[in-house]
Amino acid sequence: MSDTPERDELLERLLLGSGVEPIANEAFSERVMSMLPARRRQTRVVLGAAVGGGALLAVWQLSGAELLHTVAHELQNGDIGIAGIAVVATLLTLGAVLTGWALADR
Amino acid sequence: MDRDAEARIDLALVKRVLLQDDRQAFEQLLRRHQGLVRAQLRRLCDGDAAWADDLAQEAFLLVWRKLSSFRGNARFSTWLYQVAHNCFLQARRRNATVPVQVSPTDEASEMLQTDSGDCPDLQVDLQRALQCLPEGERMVMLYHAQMGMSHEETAQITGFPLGTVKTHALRGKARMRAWLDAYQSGRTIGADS
Repeated sequence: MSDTPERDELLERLLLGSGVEPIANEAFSERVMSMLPARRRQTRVVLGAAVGGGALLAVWQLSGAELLHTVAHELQNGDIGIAGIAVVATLLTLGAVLTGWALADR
Repeated sequence: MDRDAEARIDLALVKRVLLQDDRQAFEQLLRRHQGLVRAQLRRLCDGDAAWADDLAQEAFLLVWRKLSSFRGNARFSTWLYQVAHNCFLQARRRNATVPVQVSPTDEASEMLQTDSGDCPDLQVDLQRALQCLPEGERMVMLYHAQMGMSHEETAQITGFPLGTVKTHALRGKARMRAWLDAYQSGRTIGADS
């Protein structure tokens, strides 16, 4: 028997059925689960770092602008206006962008 | 259930583990895949069940720690087999006392030319013949021919370049064809005599 499709088919069938059968659990999963260490809260760390980084970036970007001084003045007076809302929106947006980038890159 | 559906379930479970720190989701992943990972490792460990289970345990603990590095651009199962495969390679490297498959070129040729009439069980003889293939071919045959992985998946698991995987697959199958011919002609001769 040489170079016949039947021989090749038989070989394929033999190989596919040749003993890579799933092994019964027999408490293997339980053993592994009992050994799992506590998971580090990486997601929270990433989120915190990203939001903080976004806020710092926004403050740095606005540090030379009149807008930040206006907001500081508004906060001192306890009266947040459009400028304050714009700054908060900028902080949130940059934080969200950084968070999205950090999570997508994981 | 087809492989795509299985992969989607795996991906959903992975996300639950990563985003919600869900141990039950990890246990489901473990239960879904432990059987084949242990079978894979038993093949690599030449049937040493205890060593294979130790490596499987090590692989799943590593998966738990490194799950965030799974990027989802391959099936979770492929990534898992890759982790297990690397655990096997590392264990073999660090433990010089572990019996290493002898470079089997000569032995393989001998096995492939041997009349297998001594053992009537074709599957048993087939396994012996597979064990005697050169290591690269043996690994590629395990993943590609026995576990039904694509060439690309086999390349990812073993770390071999795609071209090497295809070459190993062709050579491995050619050797096994030769072995099957010898086996069958041996049986025919045995039956005639």
